[in-house]
Amino acid sequence: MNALAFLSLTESAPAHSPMPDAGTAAGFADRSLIRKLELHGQAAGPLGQATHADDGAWWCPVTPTRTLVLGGTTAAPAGALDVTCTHAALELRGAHSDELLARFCALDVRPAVMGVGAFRPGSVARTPGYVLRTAADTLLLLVGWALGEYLWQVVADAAEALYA
Amino acid sequence: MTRREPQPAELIDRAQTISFSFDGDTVAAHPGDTIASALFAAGRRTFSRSFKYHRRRGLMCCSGQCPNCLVAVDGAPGIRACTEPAREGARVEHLNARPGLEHDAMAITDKLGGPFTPPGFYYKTFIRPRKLWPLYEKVLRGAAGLGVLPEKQAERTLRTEYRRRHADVLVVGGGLAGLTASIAAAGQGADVVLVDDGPAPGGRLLWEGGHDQARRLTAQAQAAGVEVLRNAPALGHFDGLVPAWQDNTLHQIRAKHQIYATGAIEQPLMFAGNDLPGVMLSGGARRLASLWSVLPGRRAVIATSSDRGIRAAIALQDAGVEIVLVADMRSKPTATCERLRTHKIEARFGWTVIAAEGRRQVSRVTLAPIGAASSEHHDVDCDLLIVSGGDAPATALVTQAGGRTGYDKQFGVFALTETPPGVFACGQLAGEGTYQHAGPSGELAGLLAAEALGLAGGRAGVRRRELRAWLDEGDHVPQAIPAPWSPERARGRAFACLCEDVTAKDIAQGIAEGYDSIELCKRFTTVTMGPCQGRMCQLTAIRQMAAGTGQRLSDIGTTTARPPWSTVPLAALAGRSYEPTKRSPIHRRHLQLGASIRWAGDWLRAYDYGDPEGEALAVHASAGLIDVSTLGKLLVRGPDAGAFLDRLYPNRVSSLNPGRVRYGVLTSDAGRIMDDGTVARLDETTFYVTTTSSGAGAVEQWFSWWLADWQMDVELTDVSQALAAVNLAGPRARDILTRVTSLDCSPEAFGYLDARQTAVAGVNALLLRIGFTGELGYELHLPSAHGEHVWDALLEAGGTESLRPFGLEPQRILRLQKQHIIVGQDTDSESTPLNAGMPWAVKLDKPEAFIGRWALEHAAAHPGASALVGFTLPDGVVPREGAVVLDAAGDAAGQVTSARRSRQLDQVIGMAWVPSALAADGEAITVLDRGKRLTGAVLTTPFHDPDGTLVRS
Repeated sequence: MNALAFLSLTESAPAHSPMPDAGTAAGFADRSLIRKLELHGQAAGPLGQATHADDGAWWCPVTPTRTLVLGGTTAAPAGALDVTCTHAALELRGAHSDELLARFCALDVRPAVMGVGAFRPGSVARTPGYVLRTAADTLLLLVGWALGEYLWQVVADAAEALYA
Repeated sequence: MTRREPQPAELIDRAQTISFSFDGDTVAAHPGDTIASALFAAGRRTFSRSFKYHRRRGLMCCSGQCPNCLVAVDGAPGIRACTEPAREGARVEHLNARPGLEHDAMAITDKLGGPFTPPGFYYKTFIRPRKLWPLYEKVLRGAAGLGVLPEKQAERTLRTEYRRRHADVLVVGGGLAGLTASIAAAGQGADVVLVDDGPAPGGRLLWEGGHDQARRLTAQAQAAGVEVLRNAPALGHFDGLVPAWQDNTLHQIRAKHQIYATGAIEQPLMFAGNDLPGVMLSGGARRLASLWSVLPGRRAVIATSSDRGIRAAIALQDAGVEIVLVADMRSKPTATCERLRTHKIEARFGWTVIAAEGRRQVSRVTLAPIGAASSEHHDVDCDLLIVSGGDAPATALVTQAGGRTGYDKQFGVFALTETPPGVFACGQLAGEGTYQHAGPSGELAGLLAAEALGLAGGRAGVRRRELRAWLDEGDHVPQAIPAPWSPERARGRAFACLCEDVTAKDIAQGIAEGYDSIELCKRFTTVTMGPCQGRMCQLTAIRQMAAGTGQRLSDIGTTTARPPWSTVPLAALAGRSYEPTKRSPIHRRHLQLGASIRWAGDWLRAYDYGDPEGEALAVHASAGLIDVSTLGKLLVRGPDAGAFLDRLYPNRVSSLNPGRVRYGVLTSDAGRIMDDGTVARLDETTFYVTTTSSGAGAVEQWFSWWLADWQMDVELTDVSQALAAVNLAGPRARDILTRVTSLDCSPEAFGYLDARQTAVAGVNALLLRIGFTGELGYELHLPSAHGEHVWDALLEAGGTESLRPFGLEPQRILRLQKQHIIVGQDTDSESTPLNAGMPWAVKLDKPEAFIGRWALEHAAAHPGASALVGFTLPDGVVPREGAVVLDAAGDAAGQVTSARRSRQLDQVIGMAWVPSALAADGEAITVLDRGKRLTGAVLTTPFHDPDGTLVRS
């Protein structure tokens, strides 16, 4: 057995997101169970800009020597560490996604500053996280897995006021 | 009702009617009304009572500048009625008057209190006899303040939204200059936000006949992409962050450049009775008449120092107000003054107002020549006195941004002289206040901001030069500088500060008592410290000080402008009530099981399931299951991983065989205990490190810091939250585990301190044969997403009679029975592994250097004065953690760090720092707790299973 097999999800076993069972809501959705891999070595590209691979994965350079691969369907590259459960993931989508993010995050995500593929570390809802713009109207947020329910509550609270 | 016929600039929707209550009475309003405009239209003239003397106060500025219309709306105090939109069903109440606004018992202070309420009277009057201070304090607290907050948190219902907005350019102020600036910057491609404190952008254009232009410019700005925020006063400038408060939203605006177009603040005049209802600034009266179509009065007198008052006289006459007389401080009429003649308005030049009288509001004013030594005066009956004491540039925000001001002798005001790089000013703030100059000034500021962004080029450069040339020509209409108030001119209080009821006499007294700088005078008299933040009083106070001290105004200077510049609820500054909260992947199961949940660091943890002692006993009797997902977990991988860990831990790590686990204590470079945990070697180059729950972040940083320094071939990954972890402990743990895994769990195949990987309930897991409880134990680490599944499977496998979940508290009992330390509770910043009873965790004979080696060698050679030991207390009393340990002389010599009653051992056990001389089995220990002396015995070995037979079984 791979020495680090205990990090990977077992497909046949029930897996639970750290977020509430609701899973989706108007304007945002739980994406915590997307595959996440960590690669060490030369990063996939310049810091701040993720690369969209053919299999749908986003290769996000975290440091000059570390890359976070989000999603994707092809086999994990050699040496990749499965870190699916290090981060909870929540997607903001729709015309108000930037406005919704602005209710709990101070990152500058204006399209001119952070276009599709832009990847930023920063404080998300007062906790360390990342923001990836996956489409013009879609942002993917990552925070620690244990903070998943907390993030869901913050976003739901902000959305309730925004969409009221 | 005193509504005028529909006006072209009015903001109200006459087609609809709404209502709100004021002190219980229903008040009709139209959408677009403010609370004040509706109340004034309904005939109300007294809006508040003053802070100290409880004098009647009426509408004055109608723009949120003065303190005269502060009310409570739906229980929230400190709301300015003149800017607060009227809302259907709103509950509006007066402040600071009992039993009511019309009959205020505290108004007696205005009649009798003068001699007893000088500046700082509470320091002077209420200090004797000293024993009565608690009574005085209670009375003063009851009398002071402007409103009452709900006492219970649950009654405080304000919900604040927070919105972060980044922009290229922020324009503060939406008058002619601000609008033009925003259009110019946006026209060059800048992302622009404009904040304006009014209900609609346009500033003075709105009520001075330029409403069409204001609407046109607003539409033009929005078409250019400018985000226009109305009713959104900027609160301050915090290193580039400018918050703006709008309705219930705090916009936190970070722009690369700021353009301040905050205009100027019309100043009141000093004279006896200058606070009476019916005394209004010209801007306030015109706003009331134009924007809300309410006549401010029937018969008015104008006292002015500039053309602003002249224009107000003409406009109000057009609105239907009888203008009896204009008193212009200037000795010579300007071109604008000539218009008075065509309007048949009598004017006296070189005259001003010296007194206003009236019981409930102004009924008579007294005018007199400027500076006249004679008693010449002229009394006029009226119900409205319009005052205009000149325009003071609103420099507070721009000075917070780094701008500087200086005294302008020509206009008698403190004007902006310098702005920092990247910050621009325009319009009246920048001395370009005339209609002809405000627009070009704004356009130039907008183009300069665009240029700073690298956006404006080509023709923009030509345009900038044209604008600058136009502005340099200048076209400034002179205004008179009001003279300081002289009490000899008329009897009655003349207020410098309406917020705090500070009179000219009070300032003179402050000077006489030695408070002869404006900053000291401010603190002593509280002038400029009220809700208006100096808008209405700073210039006046400075002029009074100059007269009283003989100093030049330029030498006196201004007080420091501090945020917030506009009123904002404290709740808005507190943030949404969310605290980043970590939850275990199994948290929902704990809730379902009825666990008591408590904070442990930034985690919510299951403290117990209702019976902590019973849960601990179950671990001894059969088996227990605890969620330890909060443990820190690090992967250390690479060819240098073993050597790296050898440098960090004082014991040997690289000598571990794959599949084995070792306890390790981390020490600082001073040899002090930082953290502890286990290290498992998974293969030749992979180590799995666990840390304490609270120390996870610090250890990850510690490892990262040293890795960056040492540049070793190691990859470090924090998997703390990626993995759920549970500890299955107790004599039946092996039986239960074998029901959910095919792994050979026999002691021979899976011994103490072994690490194995296998499937548990179908999930890949890492199993460590370790435990904190003193019983046979297995720690299972598996992907967090499978945490609930494996937890369920184990409980099902154990059955309710054999396996019981246990929480943090029973674990603390169990670990104490083994004298396992909790870092941070049993240790402090002076604790080393040597004096904490863990010399076996330090291998000074290992050849490698490691962090803290020198300090530990020194500590080994020079044993400390105290040591951490276990103790028992036979009399059944559990001392508090922190209780004092006494030495033989009865002096404090140590402290208890942990203590519990153990039902398993049937005695009270604990750990304590004691003098080294007492650190031996059987030594007597005396603990002083809550005044009671408890005597027990020291035990340096575990209370439970001292040989470790059970954990190895």
